[in-house]
Amino acid sequence: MRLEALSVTPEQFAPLIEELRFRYHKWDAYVGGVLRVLPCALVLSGAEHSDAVDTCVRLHGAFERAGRQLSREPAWMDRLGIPRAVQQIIGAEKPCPYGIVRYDLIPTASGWMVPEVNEDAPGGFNESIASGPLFGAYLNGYAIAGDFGQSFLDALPPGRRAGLVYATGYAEDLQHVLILADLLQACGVKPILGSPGHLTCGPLGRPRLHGEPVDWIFRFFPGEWYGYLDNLRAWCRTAARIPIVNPLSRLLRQTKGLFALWREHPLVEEGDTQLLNRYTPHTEFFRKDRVDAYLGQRESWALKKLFGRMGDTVTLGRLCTPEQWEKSVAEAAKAPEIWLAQHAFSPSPVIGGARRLFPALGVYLINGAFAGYYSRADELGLTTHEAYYVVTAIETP
Amino acid sequence: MWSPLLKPLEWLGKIRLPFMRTRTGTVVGGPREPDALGTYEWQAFLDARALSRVWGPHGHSPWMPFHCVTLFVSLEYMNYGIQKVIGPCAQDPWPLKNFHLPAWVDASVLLVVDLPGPKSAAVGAALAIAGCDLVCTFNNWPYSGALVKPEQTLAALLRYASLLDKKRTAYATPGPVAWLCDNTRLGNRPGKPGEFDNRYYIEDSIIPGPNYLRERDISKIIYITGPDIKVQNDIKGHLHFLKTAGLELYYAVALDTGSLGGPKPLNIEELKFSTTGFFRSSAGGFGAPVPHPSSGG
Repeated sequence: MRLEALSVTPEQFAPLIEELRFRYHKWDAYVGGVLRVLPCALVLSGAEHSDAVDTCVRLHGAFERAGRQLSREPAWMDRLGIPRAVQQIIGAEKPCPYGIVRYDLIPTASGWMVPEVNEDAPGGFNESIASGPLFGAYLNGYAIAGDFGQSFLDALPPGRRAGLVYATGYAEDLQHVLILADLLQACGVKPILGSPGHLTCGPLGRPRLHGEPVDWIFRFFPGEWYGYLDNLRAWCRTAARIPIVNPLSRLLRQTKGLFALWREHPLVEEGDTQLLNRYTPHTEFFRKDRVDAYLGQRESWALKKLFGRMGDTVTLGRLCTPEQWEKSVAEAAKAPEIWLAQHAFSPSPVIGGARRLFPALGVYLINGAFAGYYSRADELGLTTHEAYYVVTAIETP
Repeated sequence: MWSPLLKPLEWLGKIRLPFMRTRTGTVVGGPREPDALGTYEWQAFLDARALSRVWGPHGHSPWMPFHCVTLFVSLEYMNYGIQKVIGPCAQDPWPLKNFHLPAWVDASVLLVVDLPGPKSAAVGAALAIAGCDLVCTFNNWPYSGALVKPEQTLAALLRYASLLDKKRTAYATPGPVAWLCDNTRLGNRPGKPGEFDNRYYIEDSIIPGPNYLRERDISKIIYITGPDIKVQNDIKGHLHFLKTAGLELYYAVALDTGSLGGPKPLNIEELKFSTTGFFRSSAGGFGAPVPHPSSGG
């Protein structure tokens, strides 16, 4: 895997960014006045591409089996911090094969590492959909693998009216939903946008968003926030009647607590456990009696909340001062039930010219099949919303 | 004593009609209003890119990196019916028909138009027709019940969009250029939990540095303010820095007669402005719900 400059001049690149912002709704191309799209491609060999996809498909199977086990056991859901309201919806859900997931693979000296799974609201659609049409011609002959837009359309549940629910106060969520709404509209499916709070469903009636009937729902709303809604009954009825992409049960895999739980309890068969242990860092529920160990080996640990996105609740010991680390550990000790301690690992950088960046190779699976990439790179090895987006390209034979 | 009496009412309040939950969209201007040309051509600008194009820097302008698109892309809400009520504002927020470009606005000038958003838009339209390049700094997201009301600015931007499309002119030089700002951006108070706090401040990245300005032959900064001659706190530091770096600093007043009075030298003390307590959106710009305090220990 390496970083290569796109064959594009600054004069050609500027209109591409404008297109990305306005046509593909990627509004956060600039963060704090800095362009967060690199004029580079993360180039994978054919073998690296096959290995990345194969790894994710196998992991997906193991996570699916683990999730299925979990959904049968309320005590484990409590342990994972799944809100009771969400447990109710999960209990009402009919089996649903639809789902979009993104695995972020971090290269290390010993192979890929997957520190978390993004299956609740896995962002990056805009860039993934735009990558082929915008940057495909500037890849020095390399290819874009997958077609997220087409894979999404090919995998739709039946019906001509889709409800797209998202956190309406967050522009960053709207940009994801709008790109899918564009795709749906173009293929004759009517998208109806709204907040989860706009859903209604009577005892006998159809689920409706803003009063309009919907045949299925695309959910881009963090599962753990469902506890704040006052229309849970409507969600329970809806989950029992129509497909939800992604169903609330996917929250079981989104929580990083799952990584700790299978290390405490034999959730899945031995083969799956070995696979999960091979690709994920050691993770444990935060333990007050281990505070000294966390403090004494700062650089070996990362602290994370059970639920957290975009790196917003991650503290990497190696990136902070002893004082900052002490403060983070003390904060976690106040509410240990929502915190995890995870072994830190050393990501391998990619070098491209004068740049030395740490990549996170984002692999999308839609209904379990490869759908495309959304990769980012940053200078520190901690992927946040300030990381650079970088197109992923594959060497062609 | 009150609690038992209130319980039935509380219970009644929880009853939800199952068939309808209404939208709570933001109202932007009036959909039946004509634009500044007396036409409905504003409808052609209900597209983020189209509106940003007429209000942004010219095609190859050196000011392009400073132009904020946040408020323009908020128009994307409408395409899927979140905001049904949108149109231009009904009247000129400032009488731009009387405007003549003063002789002191020449190629060496950068204007910072810092008035209430709609008024800044009207002054900006007048300046653009006279040849000034434009940079918009409207960097927040509108939302129903939000602390700042950028939808009022958006309605004014729509009012003048078709006019600018037809009448905007350009100098052959980078200057003069006008930075359009909404002087209500800092709000009156911080947001409370559950409120949408879209207050914002002018970031460093929006203001070019002194060398960048000098290389484009800009030597004077003229701050356009209202008759109260109030300089917003977030911009004082920027202006002070530019003055210290050798640029001339003046202020002028946007008079209610549709003219600009001044300019006069502007003396400004250095001020440390705190940028804490503002809510960024990770989609760019500012605006997010204020979180409720954690109930955890």
